[in-house]
Amino acid sequence: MARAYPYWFLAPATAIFGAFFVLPALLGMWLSFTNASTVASRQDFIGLDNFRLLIRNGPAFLGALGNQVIYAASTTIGKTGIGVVLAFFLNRAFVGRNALRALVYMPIMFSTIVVGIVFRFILAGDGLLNDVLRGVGLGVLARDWLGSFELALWSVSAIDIWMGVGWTVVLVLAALQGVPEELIESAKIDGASRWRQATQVSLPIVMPTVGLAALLTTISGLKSFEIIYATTGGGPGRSTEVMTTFIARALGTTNLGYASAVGFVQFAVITVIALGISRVTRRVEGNQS
Amino acid sequence: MNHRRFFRAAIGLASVGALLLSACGSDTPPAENGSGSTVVYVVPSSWTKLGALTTNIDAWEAKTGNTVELQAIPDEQYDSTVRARLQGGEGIDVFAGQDSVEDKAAIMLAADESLFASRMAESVLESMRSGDGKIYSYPGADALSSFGLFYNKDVFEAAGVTQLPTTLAELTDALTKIDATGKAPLSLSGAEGWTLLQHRNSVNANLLGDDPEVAAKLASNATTWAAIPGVTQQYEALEGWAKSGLLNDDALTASYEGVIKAVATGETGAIINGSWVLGEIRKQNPDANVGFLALPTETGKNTIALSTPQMMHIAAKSKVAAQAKDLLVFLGEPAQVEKNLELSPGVPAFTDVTLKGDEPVIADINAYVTDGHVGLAFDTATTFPTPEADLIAAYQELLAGRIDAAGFVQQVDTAWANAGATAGREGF
Repeated sequence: MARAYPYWFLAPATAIFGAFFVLPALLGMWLSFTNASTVASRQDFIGLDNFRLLIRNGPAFLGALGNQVIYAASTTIGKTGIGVVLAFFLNRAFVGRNALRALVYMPIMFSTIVVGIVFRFILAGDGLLNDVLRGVGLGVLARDWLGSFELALWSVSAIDIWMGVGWTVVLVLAALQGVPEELIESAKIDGASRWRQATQVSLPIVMPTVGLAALLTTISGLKSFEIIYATTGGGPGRSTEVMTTFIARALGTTNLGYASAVGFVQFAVITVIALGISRVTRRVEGNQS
Repeated sequence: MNHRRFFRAAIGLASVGALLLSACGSDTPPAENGSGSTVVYVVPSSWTKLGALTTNIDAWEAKTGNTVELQAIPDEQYDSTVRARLQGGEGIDVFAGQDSVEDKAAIMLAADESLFASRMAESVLESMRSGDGKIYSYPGADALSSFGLFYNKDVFEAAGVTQLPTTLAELTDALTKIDATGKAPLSLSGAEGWTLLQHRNSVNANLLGDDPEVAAKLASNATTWAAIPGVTQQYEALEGWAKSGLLNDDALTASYEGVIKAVATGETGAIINGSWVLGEIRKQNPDANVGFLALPTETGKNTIALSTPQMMHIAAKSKVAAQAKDLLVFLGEPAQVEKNLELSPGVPAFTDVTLKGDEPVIADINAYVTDGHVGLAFDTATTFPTPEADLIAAYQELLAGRIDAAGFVQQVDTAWANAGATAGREGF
C-alpha cells in the first residue's frame, strides 16, 4: 500500500493524459481501419483498405512527405543556426540589448494565420518586398515568391524561420546564462579569442539545449500546417503540399477513415525521424563529454 | 460584514448566477414559429458579395422577428468545415453545398417541394432531384449559371475578329489577332484556383453535349478522361495558348477581381468563368461591351451548361427547421429573386420572374438555350465528389509548363479514380 502511495499523485495527470491524448490517438488508429465518414453514420471494419488506398495515392503522398521533410530540415537548420548565432550575440552586453531581445521574440506571439495573410501581400508579385527591391535598384531579384513553383516552399520556410527563431534564441540564451563565468574568465586569461570562447567553451556546454531545440523544431516542422495553409494552401500546383495539407484534403473528402490512416502514417514517420534525430543528438553529446 | 462572510456571499451569488445562465442555455426549446429564434445560415464567402442577400435577410427578420446569423466561410475551406460542423451536430441550420453527398438524408432534411415546384420549369426542378427521388434543397434567388468565355466585344472588333470562333482553331486564330494589338488575349486568374475550374466546367459542358451519358460513365469508372474524345484537344489548346503567350503574363498569380476588371475595361479580350461574373463586370464598368461565347470545341459543336439553381439545405439536426424553411421560401419569392437578379443578371430559375432591362450577355446565353445547345452542369450530372484541389494543382502545373496536356489528363484520371475510391464509390 505504501509503495502505491506515490502513484496516487500521478493518477490525475495520467487520467487527463489518457482521456485527452491516448484515447483520441487510439480512436484515430481504430478509425483508420474503418470506413467511417464525416457525413454518414457508418463505421464498419475494413481492414487495411485505407492503407491500400494510400499506397494507390503513393506518388502524391510521397511528394507531400518529401516536401515536409525538406520543409522541416530547412526550418530546423534556419531556426537553430540563426537562433544560436543570435543568442550568442544577444548574450553580450550592449545598449538596446533588451529591446532587441524582445524584438526577436515578438513574431512568435503573432497569430500564424495573420502572419500568413500579411506575408501573402508582402511576397506577392506586386507586393512590398518586390517594391523595395525595385526601389533600391535590385529589381532583377524581384520574383513572385509564393507563386513560383521553385521558390514557394523556401519562401514559406523563411517566414516560419522568421516567426520561430525567437524561441530557439530564448532557449539557448537561458542555457548561456548558466555557463560558469569562471570558465570564460579562464579562457580569457589563457588568451582565447571571443570566437574560441564561444565555440570551445560556451557552445559545448549549451549543446544539449541546442540539440533539444533542434529536435523540437524538427517535430514542429514535420507537422507544420497553419503557415503553409495560410500562405500557399499547398500550391502552386503541389509545390508546397506537405503531409498535413494532404491530410486536410483527405478530410475534405467524406472519408474520415482514410484521413485517419494518413494521419497514422504521418505519426509513424514523425516518430521514426524524431527517434533518429534524438539518437544522433545523444551520440554527439556523448562524444563531447 | 467580515471578509470571510463577504467571500461566501460572493461565491454564493456567483453560483446562483452560473445556474441561471446555464438554465438559459441551448436546452431551452426555441419558439415554434414565433419571433426570437436565430437561424444560422452558412455560405461560402464568395456568395455574400451580393448585397441583395443581406437586404432580403433583413426583410425576413423585420417580417418575422426572428434573426439570421449569416456566416461566411472561405470558399477553399467551405466543404470540409461545414462537414465537420454538421458531423458535430450543432451550430448550422441552413447551408449551401454538400450536393455530392450520397446519403443526403443523414445531414439534410427533405424539402417541401409543393412550396416551389409549380414555379419552376420541369427540367430545372428535376436537376435538383436526388438519386432517391427526393429534393433536399430549396432553390435560392440567384440565376442559373452557365460557363464559357465572357469577351470584350470592342477588343475583338479592334483586332478584326468579326466572326465569333466556334472551333478551337478559330479561337486560337482570334486570340493571336488580339495578341497582335498588344492586349492580353485571354486572362486566367490562377491565384484563385476555383476560377480555373470554370474552364473545366466549360469543357465538360461540351463533353455532355457530345455524349449525355459521359458523366454517368465517368462516375462509375466505365470510362476514363483520356478515352473521351475531345478532352485532350481542349487541354492541348490551353497548353498551346500558355506557351504562345496568348494568356495573360500573370495567369498563375492574377486575382479574380483583376481579370474581371481587365475584361470590363478592355485590357483583355476574354475571361473564362461562370455567368455570375456578369454582375462583377458591371460593377467595374456598367457600360462594358461584353458578350458570352461557349468554349469552342475541335468540331465546332458547342454546348453550354446551365447549373442547378443555387440550392440551400436545412440541416437534419436543426432545432429551428420551421423557421429555416420559412426563411428559404421567403428568399425564393419573386420580389426577393428580382432584387438579386438586378444586381447579378442571369437566367432565372423561376418561371414567374422576369429580368428587368436588356442584358446582351443574357441574350447571348439564351441564344444557346433557344437553339437547344444546352445541358446539365457536369457536376450535377455526376454527383461525384470532385477532387477539386487535385484538379487545380494540375491546372497550375499545366499553365506553368511543368506538365503537358497528356500529363494533365493523366493527372485528372488519377485524381478522379482516387476520389472515387476514397469516397467508396462502386467501380473504383
